[in-house]
Amino acid sequence: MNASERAREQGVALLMTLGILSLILILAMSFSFTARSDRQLSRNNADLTRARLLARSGLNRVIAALAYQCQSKMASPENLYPATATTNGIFSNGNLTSDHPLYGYRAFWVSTSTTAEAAQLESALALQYGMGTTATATAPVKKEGFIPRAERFADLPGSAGLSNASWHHIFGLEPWIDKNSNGSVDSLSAPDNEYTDINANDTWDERLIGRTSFLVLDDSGKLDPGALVTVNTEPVWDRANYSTCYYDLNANDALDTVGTGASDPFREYTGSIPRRGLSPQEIILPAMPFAPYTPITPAYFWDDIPVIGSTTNKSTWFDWRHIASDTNFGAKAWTVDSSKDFLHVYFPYSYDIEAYRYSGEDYQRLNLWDDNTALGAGVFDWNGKTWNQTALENLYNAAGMQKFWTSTDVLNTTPPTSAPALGGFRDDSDGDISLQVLANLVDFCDEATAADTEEATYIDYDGDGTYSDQDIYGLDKTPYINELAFTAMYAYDDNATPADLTDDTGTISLAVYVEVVNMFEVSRNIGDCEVEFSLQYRGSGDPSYTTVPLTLTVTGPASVNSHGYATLQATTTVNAYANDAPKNIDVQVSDCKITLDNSNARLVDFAHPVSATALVISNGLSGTSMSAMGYASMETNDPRCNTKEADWTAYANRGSDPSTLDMTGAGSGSTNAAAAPPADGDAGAGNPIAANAYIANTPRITFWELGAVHRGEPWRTINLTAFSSSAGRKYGDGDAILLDQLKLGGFTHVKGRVNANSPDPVVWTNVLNQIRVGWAYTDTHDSATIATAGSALTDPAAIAQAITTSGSTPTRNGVQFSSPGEIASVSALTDGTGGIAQDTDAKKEEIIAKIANLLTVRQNLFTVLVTAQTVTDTGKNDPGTSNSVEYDTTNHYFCTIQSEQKILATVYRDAFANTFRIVRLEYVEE
Amino acid sequence: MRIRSIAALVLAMIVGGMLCFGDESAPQQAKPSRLQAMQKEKVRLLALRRKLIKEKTAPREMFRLLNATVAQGNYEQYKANITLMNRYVEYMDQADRKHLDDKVKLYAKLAECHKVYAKQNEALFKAYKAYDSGAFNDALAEIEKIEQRINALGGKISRDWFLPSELEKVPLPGQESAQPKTTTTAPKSS
Repeated sequence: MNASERAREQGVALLMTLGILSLILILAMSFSFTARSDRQLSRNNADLTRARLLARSGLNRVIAALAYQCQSKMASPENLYPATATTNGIFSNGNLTSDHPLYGYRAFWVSTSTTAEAAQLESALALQYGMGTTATATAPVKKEGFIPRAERFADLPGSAGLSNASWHHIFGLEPWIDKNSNGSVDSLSAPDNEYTDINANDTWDERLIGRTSFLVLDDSGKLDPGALVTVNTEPVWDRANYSTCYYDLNANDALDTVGTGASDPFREYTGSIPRRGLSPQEIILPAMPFAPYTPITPAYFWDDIPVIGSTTNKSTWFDWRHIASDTNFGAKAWTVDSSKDFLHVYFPYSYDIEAYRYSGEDYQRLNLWDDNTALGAGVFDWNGKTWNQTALENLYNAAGMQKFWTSTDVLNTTPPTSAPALGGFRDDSDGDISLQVLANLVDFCDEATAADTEEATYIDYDGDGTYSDQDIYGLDKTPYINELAFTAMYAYDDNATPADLTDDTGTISLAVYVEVVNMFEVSRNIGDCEVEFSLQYRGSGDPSYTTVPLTLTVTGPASVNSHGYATLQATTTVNAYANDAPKNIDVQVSDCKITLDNSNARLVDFAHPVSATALVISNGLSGTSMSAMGYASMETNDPRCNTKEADWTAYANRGSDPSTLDMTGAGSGSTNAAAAPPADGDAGAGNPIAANAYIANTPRITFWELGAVHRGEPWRTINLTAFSSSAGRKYGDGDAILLDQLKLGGFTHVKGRVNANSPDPVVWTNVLNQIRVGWAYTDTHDSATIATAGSALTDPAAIAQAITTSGSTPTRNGVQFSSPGEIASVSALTDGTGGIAQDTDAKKEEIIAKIANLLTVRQNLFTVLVTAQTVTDTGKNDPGTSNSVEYDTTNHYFCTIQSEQKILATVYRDAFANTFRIVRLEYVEE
Repeated sequence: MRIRSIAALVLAMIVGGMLCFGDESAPQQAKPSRLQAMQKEKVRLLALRRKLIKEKTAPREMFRLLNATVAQGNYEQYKANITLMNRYVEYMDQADRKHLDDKVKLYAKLAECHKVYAKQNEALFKAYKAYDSGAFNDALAEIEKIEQRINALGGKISRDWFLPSELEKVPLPGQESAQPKTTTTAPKSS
């Protein structure tokens, strides 16, 4: 290589060096960029992960808060199944709650902290759903299904306390400044003993590392199309084939067979009892009330809904997903998602548990179904068992009304000590008539045609340890003892022996009459009727009576015609004086009891009309006159209320009144001229309030017929038109609490009930649409028919409006329901608002009792929105960036938001165990 | 004159004998006195009552059977009292035409009495049909008062039934001369 060549090559090294350096620089820059990117990416991923974890933590916090609040208030039975409405609900204290129209009057509550940041939370929630800031508090825009725009909480009308809505701040607790008790820095403190001298002077340098907020909506008050219960026809069992049940699937008031328990593919749970609701076609849906969905007609909607089963026996869906996944439904330009939203608006999964569960066993409300014979096999299925002595006795609690769910043992570690009790019935004199009502209820439901008694059923109703009490006799579909009369003549006879008085005798001739009335629409046979009493007599002016116990069998016709009567009679003579007879005597009857049997020698009625006060037949009855006859009569005020002396009116020694011995039945001259009251319960003479002479003796179709059960007071039946939770409620207070204590059918779990506090009139309208009114009590026992005519309410929307609103505020007619029976407090259900005549007792009770079994007040499903943000705490340094916020407006601390994650979840609460589970969770991406 | 009387007596005996011969089952007897009639009725009623007691007849039925004669008598007497009332009204008119004021007043009172009597006859019969012994006895008591008033006015009462109070006072046959009874000291049961 020459010099010139060498010279030319002298820069190569430099170039190579530069090139290498450049390459290295490029590589270094590349590495550096990659490293920086990776670090940022890692940081972002870490932030996102932290945000997600924080959001899950926030959700757990929500559940914890719900559980805590439920748990802390569950000692009150009303809060075990809290009403949706917040006034009575478990969230009425402590956290922020309201039932604002913004959320369809549903209860909601939000996160809080000691630092109010309502604006930020509002913004976060608004951003969550793309609401922007265009909506106003007065005109909220509902979009995207069921989550409305979150307004500024402090501005919500009637939302006291909502200004506290805010974030939950999560702080890191290090570093910190360890100080001595005199305030100087404890420089001597070693890291390993930092926590040994914690004192009030230590300064915790809290750094905000994240924050969460949540919004919880109660979604319980909606309909579930998959399990909407038939209102007017609860399933009725075929007695000959226990596993078969019938439903009115097409609402034509005729029952359709839908399957047997063993083979029914749609049966629920482990029992042999399948459950069905109405056909979907029978559910009338309103148009979806808000954009972007097109209003729909019922036909439009339901015609395209798939039908499970045949076209004639249409069944229900399992849940809304069946509807949403239907291709025909989608063909109407509805997306699956939008249809889900739609369905979720109206039909979230609604679930109701009726039982108290202990050791896997459900303790339920009293089931009124009786498909066999009284107290026989398979009847009165309470607790899944045959009603037995203990079960029946438990129904009544002398201390007053007790509910089995009043137990504070929410963890169910002990069995309930009390069955659903039916106590609390009082008459106008505050007398306890609960036992009588209970006996009447048993006889009303069982198929036997004989009175329920302690003696007959070996049930110690009053718990006195004996089974011989004669105070309580149930009312069955039998003739009743209505009138009682005695006639007497006294024969003084000197035996025509003038010179000797010692053979002067006195003989009393006596006759007893008992009138029985048949208030029912079928003829009833009668058997023996025994009158047990003591005849007392004395010579007029003598101080003491001679008492002769007598038992006479009175006889008469073998049967009593429908709405008829029969008079039974017996006579006897009493040789009162064998000698030294007085010419005039006083005659009376004491302690008179009457038992009436049917032709099968089963007791059908009992009366004790004379007990404390003797019935005077005659004072000074002449034994020498051939025309002197004493008589006295008694008549019960109401043939169905005739057990005790107080139930009878005596007409003793009224010799001058020809009506006193009127044994011509419940006609003229009788005080209870209305002994055959009209079946529809119309008020009338002698029948001022309610007198439906109706005994079912068959499985109940609806709660409505409970209103025909005699209340143990003259001419009064159970009053379902008013509600009182008092342990001593009188007729006027109302007995609608029975609707909480009883049930129809043996189901332990019930889906598809509607929350009685549902604030949406549409939901209520749908419920009311299903019922048929204008029924008459039907004698199903004898006619073997169940269906009866009925018609839909003409204006259910008016009732719905009355229930849910009063003016513009959601007062629900002033009532916050804590139990289904409380709907009886709504006057619109009884005053004809629905467009039907409600001028009788039965008609007034019809709507209330026919929807009560569909209702629940149990809050059990929540929609939860959680927003979580990870932040960098910048202390009092305001970065001034777009993602920086002042998280403490009092001390002016700032942070920058690093990442955000939102969770939308559906949380279900098991009210019995107060446990929660997440049934749906979605990370919401923006 | 004496011969005529004897002839009439003989004729009467002949006729009477012929009548007796023609109806042996119902021998003609001398018309009993009112006392005897009452005694007979009382004996009948006592016997009937004993029979009814023995048969354990209901008091209402006993009342019906024991008072049938009284009820029937009042039913028939109702018409008689109406007739008497009308007759006294006619007498009253006649007396009025003759300006016999005292007679007018007397007949007016008697007419009123029989009118009231007839009402009580009706009330008694209705009470009997209704088994209302109270009203029945009330009517009897009223009839006693009315009869006393009619007697006081000089009116005449014609009835073929007996008041129970009358029967009670009448001694049974054979007891007419009995000594008043004395009370024994046998203890009473109580």
